Amino acid sequence: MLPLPELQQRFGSALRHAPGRALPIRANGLSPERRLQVYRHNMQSALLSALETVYPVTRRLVGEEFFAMAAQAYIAANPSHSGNVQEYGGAFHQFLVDYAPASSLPYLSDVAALEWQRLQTALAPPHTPMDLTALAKVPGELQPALHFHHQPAARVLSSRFPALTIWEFCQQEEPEGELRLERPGECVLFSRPRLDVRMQRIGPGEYRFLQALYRGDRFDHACRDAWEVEPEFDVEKQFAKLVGEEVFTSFYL
Amino acid sequence: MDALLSTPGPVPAQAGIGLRAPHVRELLERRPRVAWLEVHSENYFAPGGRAVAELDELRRDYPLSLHGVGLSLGSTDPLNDAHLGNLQRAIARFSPALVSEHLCWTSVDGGHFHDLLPLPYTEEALSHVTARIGAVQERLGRRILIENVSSYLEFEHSTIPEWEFLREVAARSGCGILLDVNNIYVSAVNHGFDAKVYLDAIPAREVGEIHLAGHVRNEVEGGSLLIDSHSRPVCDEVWALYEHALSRLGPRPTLIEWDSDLPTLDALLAEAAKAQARLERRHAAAA
Repeated sequence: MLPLPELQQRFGSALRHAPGRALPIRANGLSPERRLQVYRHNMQSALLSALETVYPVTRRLVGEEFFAMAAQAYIAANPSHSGNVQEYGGAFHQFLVDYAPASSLPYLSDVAALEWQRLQTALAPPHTPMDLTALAKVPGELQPALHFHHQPAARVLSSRFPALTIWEFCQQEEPEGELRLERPGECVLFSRPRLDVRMQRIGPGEYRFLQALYRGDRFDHACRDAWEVEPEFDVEKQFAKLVGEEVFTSFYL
Repeated sequence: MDALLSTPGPVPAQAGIGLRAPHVRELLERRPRVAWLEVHSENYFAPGGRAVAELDELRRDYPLSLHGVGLSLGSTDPLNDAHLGNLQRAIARFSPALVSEHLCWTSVDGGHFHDLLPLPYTEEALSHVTARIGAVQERLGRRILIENVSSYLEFEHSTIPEWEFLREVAARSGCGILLDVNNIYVSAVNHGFDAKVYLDAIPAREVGEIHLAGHVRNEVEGGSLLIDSHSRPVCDEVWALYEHALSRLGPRPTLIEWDSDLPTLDALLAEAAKAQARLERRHAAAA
């Protein structure tokens, strides 16, 4: 009798790869391989459907068939490591970078990366807004040395192609006009003011500023980073905007 | 806090629906009459965001059941601690009246298949899965219901009929049974056993819930298989088996599951109303 651990290992490889070592399956009118095929198909459909849920715009850009083909190749190379299918598909954008059939669509992986970050923003823990009265009481000379915690949902992404512009274009039911991709890349700030994800284009200065603060750098060091790439970056205005949007939730010295 | 202050009671012996994302908004707006809701636990593992906030809200008006698909109770991998922790948090947040999982395995060597894979029905598998269910119940501090799955193959070395295996799992682990009547029918046709023999072997007092769903017939080279697709109305044969089950078990909370080719919310509610009518006849007969 095949012990249970060995049976499950053989069964697992038979689902992932072609028929492997024999499994003790009763034929009972149908070949064991034909029976295994049902499970193989179920697994493929579950993971394909998970990817379709996370990457609707990527799918729209390439069409249903191309997406299914890319997904199949991804699934073959990337087993799921969680019992929660919502966690599947995080490496899909990296996979697309090297996926030869998609090489004529260099922006595709940027759009996929945006969709993955969008989902992570949607599922993140909630936050409590920052105590603004306490912030106002911090003496001026200490302000440059402040560090900030940000809302768990908030994150930034920088892409070589204008991923957010493409994403927005694809939200129209019947996309109208032509989307020109001559524009340079984009930086995007994801946040979740209440329940819904908000994505906004930000400048390179704001991107560097946020990156530094998310790393835990001091306020003045974050400003220095921002000015390096965008000398006209208006710290006061941008910081007030970010605080208003509850991107930061607390501060410490 | 709100959930504690206004928790609807236990899941009644009436008909409920499996709640899927495309129906949530309409359910929130209309609050139709339906006795209870069941969701897939994993879909509500996230610590924040719209989906969990909406379930918080629905939870105030409808008794809730959390139905898991990813705990992999029959797997020989170690129990997944992170998954259990997420389930514990979901239970604390939503205070579900029922918590259930499947009599199957879904992962090996850390790789997950997201499909309900069959166990061999042997003493070895029985002790293994019983111990795992015991450990989960201990960790969660509550009894869970275990559901029989549809299967498309049988193992040569199985020595115990599935209905005896299920009965033993309940007897030895102290878990309850979530009896999926459609799954019994699908497996009965696929493997050639008598669905009534299965039903009649199930101890009535352990059955805490019944599932009903639709299936499809796949013609394959050399024969056909019924596939538990959750994509269609419940078929006549399964309604007949359900009536037989009610006559043996008495009224039980009954769920209509529909997962692909989703119908409108009204069509889903109409399907639940068919189960409700049968439950009411059974309640009347018992009165």
